[in-house]
Amino acid sequence: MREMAQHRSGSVPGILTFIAADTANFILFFGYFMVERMAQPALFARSAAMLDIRLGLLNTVILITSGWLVALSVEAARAGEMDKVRCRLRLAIGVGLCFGVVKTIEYADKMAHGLTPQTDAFFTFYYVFTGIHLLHYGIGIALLAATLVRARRIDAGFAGWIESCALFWHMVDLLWVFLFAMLYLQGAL
Amino acid sequence: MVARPILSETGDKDRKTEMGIIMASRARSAPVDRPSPNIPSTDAARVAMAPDSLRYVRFCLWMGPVLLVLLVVFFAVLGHNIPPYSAALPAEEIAAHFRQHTTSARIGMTGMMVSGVLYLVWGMGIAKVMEAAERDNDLLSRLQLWGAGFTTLVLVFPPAFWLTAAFRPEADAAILMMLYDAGWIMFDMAFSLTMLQVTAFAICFLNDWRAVPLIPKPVSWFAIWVAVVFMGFCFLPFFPDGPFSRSGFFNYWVEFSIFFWAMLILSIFTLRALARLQREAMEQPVHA
Repeated sequence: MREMAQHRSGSVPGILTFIAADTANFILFFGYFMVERMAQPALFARSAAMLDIRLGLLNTVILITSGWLVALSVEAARAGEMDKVRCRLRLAIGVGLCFGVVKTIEYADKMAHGLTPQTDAFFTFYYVFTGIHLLHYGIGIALLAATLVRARRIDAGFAGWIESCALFWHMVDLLWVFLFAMLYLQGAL
Repeated sequence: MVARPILSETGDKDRKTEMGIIMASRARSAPVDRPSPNIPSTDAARVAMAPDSLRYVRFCLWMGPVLLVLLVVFFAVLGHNIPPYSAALPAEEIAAHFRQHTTSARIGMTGMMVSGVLYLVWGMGIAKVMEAAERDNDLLSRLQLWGAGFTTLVLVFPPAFWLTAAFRPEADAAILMMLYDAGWIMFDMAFSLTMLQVTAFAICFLNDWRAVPLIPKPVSWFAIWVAVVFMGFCFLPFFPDGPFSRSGFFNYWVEFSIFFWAMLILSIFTLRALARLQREAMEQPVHA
């Protein structure tokens, strides 16, 4: 576990470059959305009210819980408790998968009601932003699954790997919190 | 004087590094009468006498920036693609482009088709630098090269559609619009080929175990980010207008432009990596 302790006091994970660039991209998305929203406030408010805020809130809770479990896995990895790492990662992935289920239900419901990306500007942004977020979510789940496989044995690079994956997963959480506030809560105001 | 075989049959883990670097060092510092390295597919003596055996790699890498300039001239300026015409425009307006700018479109698209091959040359240069970072096999450098090779086709075939339209500007407006659309859809939607190239590049250099990696880790992460951002092109077929359409803010000014930024950044850092390889090779003592 010496490698893990060394890693902890060592360099900043390189994935932060990716996270910074990706977050900047999303900030651009959010900025563009707000500009469009200011141009058509009534349409955006009306369309946002068609989203199910309970499903959005449920997904927020799911991702935050999953993120918390991943953070606990990192702590366990730093302590060298690999059994706990594996257990917590399984839970994190299990909880995280629920997000995909809820999102699928939500998309199906919107489609069934004729709300597509072509419905109006708000739903264009809704599908594109949540779609891009869903891509990040899929990558995140794949990374967590890879981490779980890698956690079967201890290797020198594991601490850096799990920290990088955790950082990515927290970015997925964070982006969703912004999306939830921007898309769902707008309709509740 | 005993020369170590550069290419061994068994292939040790540093085979590629040695092949790339030692060839350079020997070429620079070795006397002419040095026993020839065991290179089955090349004239070994000729390689050993070469004053700078990495010169071709450097040439290949410089083709990236050269192509970048050519694309700006041929594709962007002469092709009037800053930005492209909106997919929401009526056929007549798109046809008017080919009728008004027939000659510049013909020159631009011909130039693009001719110069597009430089992308493959650039990819080969990158592959040679990647080989110096690969330890156990050359899978990633090969994938990168295949990605670059197929991206070359993306730089060559879409202008053929636009050139066809410029070749027959008197054709029906709907046909000209279809040719224009087909070119752009092929150009944008074949992004997975470039994704393959930049992802292989990134994974290779993220696994570079040098104390100071050949390519800085942030550059590799940037390349992965580029690959992820390219996924945004998936929205193109759904939106003829708006920020996610082919001429929209996100699709064109963000995602599409990143392709060119990636070419520039990867060129700069692979050229720097090559300079470092060359320095290291010159400092490396030749075993007697």
